[in-house]
Amino acid sequence: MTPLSRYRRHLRIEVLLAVTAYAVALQTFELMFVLGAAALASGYVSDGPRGRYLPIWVTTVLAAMLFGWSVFSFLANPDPASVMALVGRLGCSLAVLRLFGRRSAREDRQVILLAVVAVVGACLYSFQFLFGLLVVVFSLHTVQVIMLNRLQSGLDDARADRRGLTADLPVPPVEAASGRSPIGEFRGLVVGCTFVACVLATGVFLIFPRQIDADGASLGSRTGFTPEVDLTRNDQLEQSNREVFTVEWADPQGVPIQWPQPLRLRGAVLDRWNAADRRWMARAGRRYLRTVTTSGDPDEFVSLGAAEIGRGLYTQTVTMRSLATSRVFARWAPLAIACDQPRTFTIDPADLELEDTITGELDRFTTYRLLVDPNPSPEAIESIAGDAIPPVRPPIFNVPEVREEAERILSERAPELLEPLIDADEAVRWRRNRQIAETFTRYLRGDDFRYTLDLRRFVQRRGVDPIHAFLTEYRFGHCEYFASGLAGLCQSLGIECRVVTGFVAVEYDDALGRYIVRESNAHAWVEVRTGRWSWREFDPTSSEVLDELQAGRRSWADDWRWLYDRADFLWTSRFVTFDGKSQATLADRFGALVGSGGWGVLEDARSIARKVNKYFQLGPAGYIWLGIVALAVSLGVVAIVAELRRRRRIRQVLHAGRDVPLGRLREAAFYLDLLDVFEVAGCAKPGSTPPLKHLDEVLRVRPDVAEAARPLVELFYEVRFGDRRLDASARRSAAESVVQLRAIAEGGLS
Amino acid sequence: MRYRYHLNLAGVLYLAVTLLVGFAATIRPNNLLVWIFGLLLGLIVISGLISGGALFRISMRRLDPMNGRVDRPMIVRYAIQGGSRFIPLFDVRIREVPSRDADSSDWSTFAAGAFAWVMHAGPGETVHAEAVFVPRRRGRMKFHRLEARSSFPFGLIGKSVTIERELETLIFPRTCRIRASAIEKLLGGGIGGGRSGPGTGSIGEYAGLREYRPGDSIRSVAWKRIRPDQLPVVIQRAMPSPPRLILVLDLRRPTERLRLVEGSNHREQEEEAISFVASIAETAIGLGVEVGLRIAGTSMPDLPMRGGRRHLGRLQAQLAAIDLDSERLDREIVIPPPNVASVVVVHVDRVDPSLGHHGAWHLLPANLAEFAARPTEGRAPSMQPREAGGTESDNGEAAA
Repeated sequence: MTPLSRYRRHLRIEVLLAVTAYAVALQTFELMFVLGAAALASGYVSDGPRGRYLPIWVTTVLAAMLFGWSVFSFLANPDPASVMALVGRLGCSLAVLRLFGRRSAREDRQVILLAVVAVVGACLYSFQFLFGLLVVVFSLHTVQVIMLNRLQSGLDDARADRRGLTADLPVPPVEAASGRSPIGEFRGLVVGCTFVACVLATGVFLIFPRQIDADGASLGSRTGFTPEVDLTRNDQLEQSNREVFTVEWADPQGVPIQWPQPLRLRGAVLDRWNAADRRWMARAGRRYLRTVTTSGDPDEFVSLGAAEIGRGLYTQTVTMRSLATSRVFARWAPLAIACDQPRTFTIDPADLELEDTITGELDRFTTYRLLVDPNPSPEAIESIAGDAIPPVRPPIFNVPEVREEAERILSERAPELLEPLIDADEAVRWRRNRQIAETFTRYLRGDDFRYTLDLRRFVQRRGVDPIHAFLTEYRFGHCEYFASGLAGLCQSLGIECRVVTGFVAVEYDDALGRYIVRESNAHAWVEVRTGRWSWREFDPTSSEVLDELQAGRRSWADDWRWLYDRADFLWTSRFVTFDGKSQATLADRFGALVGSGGWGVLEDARSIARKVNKYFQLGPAGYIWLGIVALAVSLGVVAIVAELRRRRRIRQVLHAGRDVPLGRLREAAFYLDLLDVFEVAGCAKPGSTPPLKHLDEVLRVRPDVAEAARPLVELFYEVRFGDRRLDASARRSAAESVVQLRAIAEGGLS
Repeated sequence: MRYRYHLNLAGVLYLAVTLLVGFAATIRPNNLLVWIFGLLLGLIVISGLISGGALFRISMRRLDPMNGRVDRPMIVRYAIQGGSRFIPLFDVRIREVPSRDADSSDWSTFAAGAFAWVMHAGPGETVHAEAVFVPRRRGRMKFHRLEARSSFPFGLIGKSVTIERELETLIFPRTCRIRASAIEKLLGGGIGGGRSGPGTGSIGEYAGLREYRPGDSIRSVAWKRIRPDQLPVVIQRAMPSPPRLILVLDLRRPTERLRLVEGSNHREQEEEAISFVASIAETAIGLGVEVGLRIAGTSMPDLPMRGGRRHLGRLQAQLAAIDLDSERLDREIVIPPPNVASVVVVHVDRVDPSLGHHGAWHLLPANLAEFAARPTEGRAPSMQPREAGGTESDNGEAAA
């Protein structure tokens, strides 16, 4: 048995991991099933006892066909962004194909290289935790496979060297020169190498130069909340079902209920289109920002500015799970806020946007509550906003093509809305604004437009505004494009409106009495001003999409999803979004730790204990439970270490190599205690003396101990050299004899 | 001991891929790529550390192969011990390094390079690996230096250690099996059964009794023949007298003055003559014949007629050590009379009856084809028995 015995299997696992990682990244599971099944089949067909290989010409032809398929795929969709996906697919296919050919270590290296290319290519397309986990496993497994390949390469070269010799007599075959325990030491080396490689990789990861504030740019393409709408990205979004927070929606009596409509939770309000940067932004120079401070009592509400907090208000309770953000997600219109932590919130009275930019991000374990009036009276809004909302604030939208498109739509669908209003009163103007917005919404919800998360065909061109391209050319996109289209059409006609991003809570858990909000529930919609103190929500995204979101997609796997979500949250918050700011924070913490001389660690431990206690809602007794768990874990670690040390000592005493099974060691373990007894009796056994000979020495010094120990020594000989097996009762009996012997030895000394 | 690092093509390619991934990680804010980039960098560091640490203070010892033979596998064994206390050795290749000087006795002029492969050796553990050489010519072969090379674990950076370890070994001439009937013919009376000579000793057939002398083995005392009033007597045994053969190799004429057809390789002809002698000696000793050796034209000592494998080794060593470049001497050689031993004289170019007595056999390398038990095929032409008619004289016929 050598480390090379399972080399072929490890190579197959390597290819399987690469195929799986690629499929997870590109969401092409049919490819995984086909290639994965083929890779598994190669274990029987090529690497099995029959050893059938494809002829070289067949593999060459198939490889050429795969290459042609990739080229054809690229020509059919000449998108530079998809090149690495095609390269990865080609790499996976060729690697699997290679498994069916006759190959040496050199060809195996090609298989490894193809697998690596596929995985590195897939890295450009996915950021999700499962893929990251697969990449890490693949990387560490690759370390082992490369080491095995080096061994196989040496064996192949040695064999080739012998084959090249011609002599009168047969040349002896290669015999691998090997020490006592090649497998154990190879495994140890692999573990050591992977550990050191991981440490070095993490070190490089921590110090790699990054942007100071990447603003989630490294988050990549997945559904989720972003505080701004960026239309420059044209990749494929992944649907992420990670739970970000839960919402309890209680009626004025405090009873949790499910709202008849989806709960639109506003996170960010954006009212200015920056055509140069191609993104929606919040207007600059907010002069009316106010701050409110919560006490830390979740029942103590602080008014956001409303003159009077009425009784008929709904209560929205948000418990953060796996999202860290400064934004407060609130149903329109929040009038008061409370939080379980002392925090200072900033409110923009013009759009009731709430944010905590002072205390820190609202992350896991944070709970805040809001008093919400779903249908606020103009007076209530006026009391909060005051001068922040001017009577008229004409929007600036400098894309003439969009205005032309807006006029074209209105001329086709409601030409009367294009006629100028002369001497019309304010109410008529507001009503017409609403009618125009409704017309545009119906237009965008029509069959001409299609909702999709795959934007790879949405080619961004210089000089072409993406909203105009969406409205006139492509007519597909996700909610941000639909909302941008509606807001662009309205603003181009001078209608005041704004894009709102946040979440739509649709998945109601009856057992919990709460809405479960996932990343896939992130949404964007539009609020159109329909009065001096009133705004109305318009969602141009097709209602079927929301229906799909409402479907919930719950399955038995979702019961275990919390586990995956925790890991996914850690992956995203600690790894994927790690940027220059995180680096600076880490450096500060490390500096503080060094400066505080270890007190920082204690503080961190306390903080973690507090968080865990709070998470499980254990109360003050939770610390006792935590202490018990910590003690049990510590004792377990000590027991494992002691057992491992004892096992090593037994091996040393018995001169047993790694080939001696554990069961045999356990059976001879009483001998170790016997040696301790000899030591107690004052006649320790030298390592070089055989046990029976040593017994003669003991007989001279302590005849009582020697007589009692003789059966045990003979039993040891039978076990160690006589191939005698001891069952549990015999082992117990031997252990009891040793205990009695110890008593004799100690008695003699006293 | 000399340590060296080697960056091979795989390492260069790996570096290029690493830089590419690093570049991609720089232009795309992708932390997974950053981690992979760090892993790739880490593997470079580990590769250098492991291959360097494992070979640090490595101990290599070449076990003396004693001798080899032309066209036969010569196994050279090495004892390898890792010097590191923690890092085991994996995938280490031990190879002989050719001499820097133009040394005709260097091993590289005898055989193609070969290496011994060590799959694993634990820290402080000694393992034995073997390399197989197939020498293509006869003579004194010298090994000078040993090199241990490893690019484990990842094949990126190689590390080699070179150690001076000199050793000289003899490569025996190539032999082929001679027909037993041919040997019988050379011996005249044939091999026959056991024969006793005039000498006495402690082994052999019963010859008589004699009085005990101090120094006689107690085993040879004939206890049954002793009366109480008599001195002990011992059994006298006659020494066995196997057939004897004296091989004479005629190298009196220098290589360049050999009388061969134009275009033929003189040195090759001499080597074939040596090989012929070695073949006769090997087969004859295998048949129980006592064989002696005389080499005319050199200063090498005569070997007496003896049997056994050890004596065969001495004979072949003598033949292996012949330096054909040395000056040829016109030295008188002593050849026993025909009643003592049969004499076979092997000449290189032409038969010279003045060497040996009237009953001696005179052979040429071309006669090897007639004597060989089975013709060997598929070998290098220089090693095959030459067909009769290759020389200018006698058409290869044996002359008595």
